[in-house]
Amino acid sequence: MTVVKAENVIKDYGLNDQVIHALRGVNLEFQAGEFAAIAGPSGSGKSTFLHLAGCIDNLTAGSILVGGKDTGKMNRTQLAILRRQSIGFIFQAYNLIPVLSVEENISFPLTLLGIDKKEIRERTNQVLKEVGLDGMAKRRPKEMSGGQQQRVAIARALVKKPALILADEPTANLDSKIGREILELMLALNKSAGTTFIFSTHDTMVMDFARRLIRIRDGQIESDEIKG
Amino acid sequence: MTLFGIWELKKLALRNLTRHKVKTILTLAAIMVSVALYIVLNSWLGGMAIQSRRNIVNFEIGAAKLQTRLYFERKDEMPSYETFLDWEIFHEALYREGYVSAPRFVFSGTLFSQSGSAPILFHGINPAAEKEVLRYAQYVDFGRFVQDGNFEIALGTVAAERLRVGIPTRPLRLELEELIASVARSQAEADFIRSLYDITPSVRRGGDIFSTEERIVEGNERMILGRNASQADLDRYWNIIAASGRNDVRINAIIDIKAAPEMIRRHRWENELWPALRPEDRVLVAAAYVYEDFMDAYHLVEQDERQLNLILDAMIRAEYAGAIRHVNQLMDVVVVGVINSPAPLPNGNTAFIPLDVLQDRAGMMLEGGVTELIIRERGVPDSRLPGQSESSAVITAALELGLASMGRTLPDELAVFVWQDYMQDYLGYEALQTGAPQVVAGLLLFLSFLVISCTILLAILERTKEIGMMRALGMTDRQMIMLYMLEAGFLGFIGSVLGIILGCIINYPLVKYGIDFSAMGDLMDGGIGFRTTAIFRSMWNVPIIIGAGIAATLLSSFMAFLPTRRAVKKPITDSLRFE
Repeated sequence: MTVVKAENVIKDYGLNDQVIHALRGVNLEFQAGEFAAIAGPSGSGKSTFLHLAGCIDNLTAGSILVGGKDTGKMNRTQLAILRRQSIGFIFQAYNLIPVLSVEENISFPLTLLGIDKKEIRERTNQVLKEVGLDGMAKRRPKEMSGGQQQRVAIARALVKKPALILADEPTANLDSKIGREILELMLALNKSAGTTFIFSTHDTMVMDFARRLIRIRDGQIESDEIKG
Repeated sequence: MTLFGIWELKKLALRNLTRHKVKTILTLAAIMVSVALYIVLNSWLGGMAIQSRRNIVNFEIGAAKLQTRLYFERKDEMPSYETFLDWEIFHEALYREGYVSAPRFVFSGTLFSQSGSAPILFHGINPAAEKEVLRYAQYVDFGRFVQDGNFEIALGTVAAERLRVGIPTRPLRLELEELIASVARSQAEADFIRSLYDITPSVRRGGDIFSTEERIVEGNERMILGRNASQADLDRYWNIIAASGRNDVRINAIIDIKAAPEMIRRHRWENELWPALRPEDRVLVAAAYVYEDFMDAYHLVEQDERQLNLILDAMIRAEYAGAIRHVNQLMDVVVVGVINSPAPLPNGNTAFIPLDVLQDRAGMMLEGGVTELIIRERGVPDSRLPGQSESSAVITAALELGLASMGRTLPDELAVFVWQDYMQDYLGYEALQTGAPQVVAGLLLFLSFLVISCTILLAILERTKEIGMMRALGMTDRQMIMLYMLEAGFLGFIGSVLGIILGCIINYPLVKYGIDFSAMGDLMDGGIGFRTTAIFRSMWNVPIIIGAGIAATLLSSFMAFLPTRRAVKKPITDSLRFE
């Protein structure tokens, strides 16, 4: 089943009276359960593609279908609901809410979905175990290491069981040992839950872990390799 | 999550308040102080306004007055010639319909005592009827209230002190010794008077302003009438003063009466009277006067009293000065009491004199006329301000009904005017006095909302990345706005609750004990200021207290709307990149 389908995607930015062509006719398709990385140097357009696939930025031309829905034809509220229901985000800087505890951070997307408290508690506890943070539910983010915070961010993305998780350079702020642990965790979750993961990265370790590696340069796909 | 399901995020909104505790506390303090100040000011001014209105009704006017329409038109000039007769009939008619009333003849003049003179507003009153409507007669500090048939007056404390009649409450020692010398008939009486006073030494610093040396200024000591002096002592003291003749005073007043002039010089007829008369009145006046060559003047020939009254009304309407006769009146009376009521007007340069003395024995040519009949609904508590049952229309209808039951009708020239009609100056002052501080308090409240706005603005700026993350996770623009409005609303709510508590704590002693302004009595001489003396009390204005809390909460919440709306217009990717 196709989770994301990008057709001739063009994205231009205006910067100081200049037009930056971030993506120049990108065509990509991701199937359910993929564990893919988009790699490329800074400014290559990998994060831009991730933002477009995550419906947090607008296309200049082309189309992106998420779960078969054309995001270009949706308004702001419809896009917000699509993100809420179907897409999980993992950010480089974790972006946790500092005044909420670990379990509150994780359950935040479920609260937005209007799920009842009992189910929220069950799902939060389950995902806490999955990411290895059992027993840290009441801690605040500032009381945790970077790796632990990223685990919380992964748990927050996973808890609503989305079809797609987008991770924007998830290991960039972590040392290689912790980075590897995080990647192993995500891979395990990918295998166990069948969730599609798409990373943007220029970290070779992430590229090694990925089952599909897409290289992008100057806004165009340079290579698209599926590993054995 | 529905729009209203945002309430589920209350925990986050509340937790957000703990991010910067000092900033939150300062913002809460700003709201608290503003709300408290608003409540206290409103309650205080509201209390003074209510007390003033009650005092006007209970001590000055009653609920309404029956007067001639012409008197009301010219009430500022106090036209003593605009009187009406047979007040007893109207009094009875009103009583039958559930109203009490009291007749008055009001005029101005000068009162002379042995020590000086003062301009006084005199009220010729019927003591029994007056006590039915107004309450000042219960507040006679020294002596007693006036009684029918006696050449006597009761004075306000301000007038009494100015004329140095009655018992001085705070004389200098030298002044007291002069008084004793003039009133005491024996050493025992002199000692008795001295014994009633406490001495407050008058101390002056000696030398230059840096000197610490102090010296007693002989004779300049302030004597304070002892609070413990018994009523019997005060009565004895009053009688000693009265026996000396110190309380004997003379009224000098010019009473205006209407009288058709016997003769009008031709030049006045042609230049003053004729051009000012209404065309229909000219026929009437022309028929009543005959021109005589040898005097070069017009002479009155009309004898019929009814016609003469119509002619007089025509001349008054034309404001012809010749129709008013100014009669200088002198009358010797004795001051029998000094009034010190909770309202400033009866305490001021005011005197009350029995109406029957003015009417019958003083030779003032009033011929039974009174200038007004003051009216109040029978049996209403003093705390109640006149309502619908004391409106002009209802009292007029009642009066007409009462008169009809007596086979009479209400003359056209008479009308009922309510207390507000006489108090426009005061009501304007009240609106200004209660309005201006409220505007200031409102501005302060608004400033505190600006503080909230700044707090939220800073919070939004600081949390730009977080806002981007929340939107990426699926929060809609509306939910984001609601979340921050909820946060600001909590700030407003907590600040309001604290403000209400602080306001009530401050207001409580102001309601229970008030503030004693009696020392300022001279300054509040029944002018246009608040009509209260002695103790000013605040009030509990529950709608204002609750309203201030609700308004502060809602306004605080609203203050978050614009900054948050601006924040959610920012592209999510820009928010996420924000450092």
